[in-house]
Amino acid sequence: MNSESSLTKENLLEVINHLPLAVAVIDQETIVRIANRSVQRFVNRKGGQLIGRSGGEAFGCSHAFDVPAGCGYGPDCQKCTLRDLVTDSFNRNEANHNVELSFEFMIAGTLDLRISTVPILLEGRRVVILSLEDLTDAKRQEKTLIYHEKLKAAVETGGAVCHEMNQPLQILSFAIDNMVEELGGEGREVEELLEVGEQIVRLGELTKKFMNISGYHTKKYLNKIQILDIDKASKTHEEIP
Amino acid sequence: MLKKFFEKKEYVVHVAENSDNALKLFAEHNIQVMFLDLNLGEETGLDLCRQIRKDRPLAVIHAITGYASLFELADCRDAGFDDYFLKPVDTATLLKATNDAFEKIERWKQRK
Repeated sequence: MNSESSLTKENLLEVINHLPLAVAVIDQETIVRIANRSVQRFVNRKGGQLIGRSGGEAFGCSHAFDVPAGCGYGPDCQKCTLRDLVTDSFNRNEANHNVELSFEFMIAGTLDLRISTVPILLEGRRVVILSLEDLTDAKRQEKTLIYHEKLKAAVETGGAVCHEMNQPLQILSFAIDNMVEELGGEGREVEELLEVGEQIVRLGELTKKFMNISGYHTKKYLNKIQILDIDKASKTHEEIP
Repeated sequence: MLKKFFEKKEYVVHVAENSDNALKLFAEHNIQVMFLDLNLGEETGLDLCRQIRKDRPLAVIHAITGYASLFELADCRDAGFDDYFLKPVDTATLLKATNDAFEKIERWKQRK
């Protein structure tokens, strides 16, 4: 007799109730057969509201009642990654580990989850152990951290550009001023020099934008790559995502 | 280039490439108005300004910098700078600042 065939619902529930992870057992009809305490807390429902219900209904999927037939029959159910993972484990008799996906809950909204599905034999029947981990906060923090790092890099690079470019611009500015004065401030050459001077001023305004980067914004360039949108990035009152 | 410009305006101009040379010039000449680059290598224009300010409380000291955040500008005030200019700055602006500085010093001397 192998260990799986001697495994009972009670044994399994005893074990998974000790886990901090939300764990449920789903049968081949995608009905919830066992739900540990963590999954009850996760979906804010007691065991009685979970056991015997289809997965989508039990977990509070926002599409569970799109059609009268319920979970698995609506148009969005065909695209449901969670359903696919459970079905895949049944079909291939193989586990799926640590798959990250977004799931739309009726009440909590869209959450980022890490899912694992493991097929086992329970009391002689094929079932899948489903574990769920909420990554939403971690993802949000990661996103914020990445944004801050990008902004820091943009500010540091902008500072370097500003500093390095302003040196030769200063020399050009003085040279233009000197030449204009030596030419007596009038004439065609002076006009052309003043036009050059205007471009130097324009470049100076541009380097000031590099100095004032306060947010990280990009724009598409030639429909291929992203470049820093220096106008947006240099505006103040930046909201951090 | 700037030296040439101010000499044409009949100012006596001294130029130093670093802090040490600048301090030597101060020891030898009565320099009342100055423009200091903030980026002087190992020592910054802020350090130099603090040293100058100790001996020349009435001098008018301007900072010129290629890059400065608001924090650096606050540091400039703390160090004793009277004003700052962001590169590229045109000669007309620097000339006005110089003329105004000498006018101010003259007024202080006469205690008006």
